[in-house]
Amino acid sequence: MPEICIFSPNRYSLYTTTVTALLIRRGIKIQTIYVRNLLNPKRFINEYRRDGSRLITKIWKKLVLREAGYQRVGDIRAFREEQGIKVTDLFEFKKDPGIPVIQCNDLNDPVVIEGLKILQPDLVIFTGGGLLRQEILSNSGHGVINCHMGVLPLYRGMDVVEWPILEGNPDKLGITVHFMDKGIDTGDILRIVKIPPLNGETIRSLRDRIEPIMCKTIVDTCIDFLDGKLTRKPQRIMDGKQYFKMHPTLMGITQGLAAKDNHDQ
Amino acid sequence: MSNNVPLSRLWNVIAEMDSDILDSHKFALGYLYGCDAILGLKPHLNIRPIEIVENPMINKKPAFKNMDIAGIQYLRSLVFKQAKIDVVTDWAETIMRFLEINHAILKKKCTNTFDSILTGRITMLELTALLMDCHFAWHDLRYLNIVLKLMDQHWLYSFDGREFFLEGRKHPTQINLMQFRLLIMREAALKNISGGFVYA
Repeated sequence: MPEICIFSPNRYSLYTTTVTALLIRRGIKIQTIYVRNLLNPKRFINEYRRDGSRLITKIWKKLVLREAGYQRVGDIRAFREEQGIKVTDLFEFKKDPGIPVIQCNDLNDPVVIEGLKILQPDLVIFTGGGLLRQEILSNSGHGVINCHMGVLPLYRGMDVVEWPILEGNPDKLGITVHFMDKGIDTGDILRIVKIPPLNGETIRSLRDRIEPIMCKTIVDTCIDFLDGKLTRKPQRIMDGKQYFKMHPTLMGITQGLAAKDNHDQ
Repeated sequence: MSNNVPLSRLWNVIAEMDSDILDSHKFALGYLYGCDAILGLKPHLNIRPIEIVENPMINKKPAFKNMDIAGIQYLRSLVFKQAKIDVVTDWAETIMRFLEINHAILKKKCTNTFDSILTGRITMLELTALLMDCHFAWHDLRYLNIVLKLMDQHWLYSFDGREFFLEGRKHPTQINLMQFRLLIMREAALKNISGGFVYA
């Protein structure tokens, strides 16, 4: 039976708890869950430098409101209700079904590297938590897989729901399950799922709708890969571009464009 | 500080300058990629074409620490002329990535890299102009994205329309001319994309 480890950005991640619950139901043995510590000043400073005031909104929604921050049909809360997933804290998996949950300041910490060397997982599933160093990638069996919220290789990096809309490419919205490598979203691709926007959808509602699709897709892809049903497709660097956090002025234009597109449909 | 003087009045300050003075500032005022027309600014400035003056900077590894004003101006002239695209793209992409990752601590990076605050500011204004040129030449919105972030940094961009209008009666400074260029191009770029198309 294949054995995997999971990496998580924090113990209360709805995405991680949902993915973990789905994997357990599908009979996958989870050796250990590695979780980044929340209260880490260095992490906060680095993420604030990168995200600015958007980090505060993100913390409010994901860590304070948690499930209460989701109110829409088709979002992760609705998906969890439909699936009967109630766990909201990764530490609950310690009790049932007894999965070790190890906290660290950084997923590249020695405790993680040493753990992976001992456990020798077949695969690691990444559900967030920063960049990974080569030593982690090399000790993760087949590798570390991630679900990127954009279509690779075209849209690498950040805000890859917004950039296709601003560039007039709503047909290029979707998600990609891929292996992580030393580059940014440049690893081998396993699966791409296109997600066209719906009538009346805003960027916020689109992002909320994509999240449960990511949960299901990364689990399905992990199992299909371990069953030998999928092959890795390498990317060529020249086939895509790296995108960065969108400036608020461009973000405002994008939100206006999304509203206009939905009105016109 | 803000631009609270209509662009057309500021444009007149430029249009009334002697052609020799305009030509001496061709990197600030030349090759506006049609931005003046987009914004309805008249008259069209008659500035002699920029000649390409080769610079050894492009033979170095693309890196923030390897930049200088003359080298950036050479890259800008290559963008204008659509020459040596591979080399220019390499530089532009590398620098864009560096600035995106470091823009929160950019002032400190500049202080550590350049000889003086003034040199650092002028170099960064030229670099911002290069990135804006890349946006217009290649229709790549990522370059506009980083330019907007750089223009948010007050130590770098602090254009005051009234000061420029008054100064222009005598002789605007290079820094203010570069800032004015960025202002026009930013306004034109945002006007272009807010309608939902990109340079149709």
